[in-house]
Amino acid sequence: MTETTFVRPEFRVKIDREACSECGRCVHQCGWEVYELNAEGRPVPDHAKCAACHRCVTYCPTDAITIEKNPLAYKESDSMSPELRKAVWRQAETGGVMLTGMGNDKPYLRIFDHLLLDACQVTNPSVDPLREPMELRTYLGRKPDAVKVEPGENGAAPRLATEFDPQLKMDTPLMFGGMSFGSVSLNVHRALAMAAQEMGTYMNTGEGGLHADLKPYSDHIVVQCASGRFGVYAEYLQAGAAVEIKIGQGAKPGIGGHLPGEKIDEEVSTTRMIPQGTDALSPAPHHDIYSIEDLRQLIYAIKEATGYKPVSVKIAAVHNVAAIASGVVRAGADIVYLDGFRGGTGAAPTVVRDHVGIPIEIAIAVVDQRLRDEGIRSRASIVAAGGIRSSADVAKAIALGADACAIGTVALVALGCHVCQKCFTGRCSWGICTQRPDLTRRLDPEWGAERLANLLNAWSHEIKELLGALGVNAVESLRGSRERLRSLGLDKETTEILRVKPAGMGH
Amino acid sequence: MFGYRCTLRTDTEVVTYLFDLMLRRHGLPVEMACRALASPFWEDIDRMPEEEKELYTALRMVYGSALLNGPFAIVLGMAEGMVALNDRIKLRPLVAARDGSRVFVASEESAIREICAKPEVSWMPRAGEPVVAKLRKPAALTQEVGQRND
Repeated sequence: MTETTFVRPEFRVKIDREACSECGRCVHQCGWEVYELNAEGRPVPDHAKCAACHRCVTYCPTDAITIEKNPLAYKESDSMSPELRKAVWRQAETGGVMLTGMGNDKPYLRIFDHLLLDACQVTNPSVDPLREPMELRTYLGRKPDAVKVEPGENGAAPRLATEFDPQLKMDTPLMFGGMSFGSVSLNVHRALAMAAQEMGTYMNTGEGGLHADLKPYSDHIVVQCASGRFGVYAEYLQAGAAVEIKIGQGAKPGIGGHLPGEKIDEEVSTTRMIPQGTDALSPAPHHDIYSIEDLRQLIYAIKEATGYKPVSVKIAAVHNVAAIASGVVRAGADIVYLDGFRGGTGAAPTVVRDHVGIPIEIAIAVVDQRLRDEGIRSRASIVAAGGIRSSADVAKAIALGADACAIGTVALVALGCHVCQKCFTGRCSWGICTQRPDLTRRLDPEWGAERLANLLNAWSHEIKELLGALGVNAVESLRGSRERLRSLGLDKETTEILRVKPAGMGH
Repeated sequence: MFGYRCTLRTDTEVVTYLFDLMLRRHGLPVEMACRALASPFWEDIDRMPEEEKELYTALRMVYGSALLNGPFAIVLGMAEGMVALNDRIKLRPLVAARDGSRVFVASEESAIREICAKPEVSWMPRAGEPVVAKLRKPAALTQEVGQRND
């Protein structure tokens, strides 16, 4: 006899029996195995298995399925919410660490939603992006403090006399954040790479190596070197447009990664250079980095190996992020990639995802300010990620001091992700966070690339509208321009940390 | 920032400091400093010959934050002469004229004609295109002040 669980199903699957044509498509579509056909050929749902991912709902030809929240009432308690009770029951049953996927879903203050952008009226004209040029081009990387110019001989035009480190040229200040092949499917990687190439931006391998199929796109790929060093070898580092050293991740600062053996099939195993079926464990720290000096050694080892390509260092937004970022820049990083506490993950302990780290808005503001105060802001670009949900967030992040933003979760949402937060199970019905061939084949890379490019295009147009309203025609004019932001409903300390004035206060 | 402290809280003050930073401290030629303050558009830069393109790309990459993005027409006086500049999409008017060794700049041509009825040439500089007038012998600043007192 199976033991009865106290954890009752979160959702209820309702099938309209009159509408249902008993075609069995729901049975086939559901990666969670919610449905079984009974003796009469009718689909019967097992509510407990449902993740509310809507795959069956979307593909039901007669719209017969709907998913509802289980209305089951719990005795009211403000301190012991039903979620807490369920977590206790689950842990009492299993004795294990609670796992989850995607980003922090707790109702913390969303600072972006308390920031408002400025616009021009009368004294400064706004610019119409449909009639005037509007520039989003961004270069990421170390810039010299000044440009030196040599006078041209015999009246010829002056020439540049300053040497520049290689830069990442972006046509729009948006890129894709690191998501490894292994956590997501190869078709997701293909879609991201194609979209990055089309849009003149970059995708990021995450720490799972670079599959051979992606080599043609490598000019638009940032290759990652994380603590597990999976799939890292000389040609891999040389293949990318830049290399990213991943120190931390916003969803799980301070802890490593764990890709279960079930997701390590032949392709993943080859790409990661690890045996098939074994768990891929990324240590919490890099075992060769215990100080800024150690980080510097790795940065310069990578620069030597790649002919001085830009090196990005990804850190999670934690309490002391400004000082850490300053050290990272002094260690030689060309890009500091900040990942906020709402950043996504394929798998993380729920307790870490929901309780560790700080918001990206604050991290951008304090890092930008610190680097400016120390006179080293030009030495590195700032990429902000981990909680970027819309073009408005991008504009606000840039106004707070970021050079560009990276998106992960919303890119997956564009590909069909419904944020059911079950990525770690490897059974994603949308074929995104899985390696099961019957599921991954659901995502056509070309279809996905088009949707991703559409999303970047749409956001780029919206950013242009916002810039036009601000009366500027180049995105660099918004960077770090906190004077163009006002806060609404934030406490005084937070506005002081952000260095943003409250709404109603003029210049 | 960069050791400057704005006390007047005006954009004119900011422009002055930007010129000081680029001309005196970074040693940029005045034409190049103007190209940083009112940069050409990327599509124009991309069409330039290779060396020029490199230079203008470098200027924007380094001095992107110095781009004066909004309407302006400014005149800067310096020891070696003067320069007039307006914004990259010419939201503010600027007219220049020359008569012999004298150069005039103003918002309207009528203002120039008020003091020089028939200049040899008068023209409307393109957006972001600096008008640079250099003295044959750069004046020492103290001497200039002295002359003004006479």
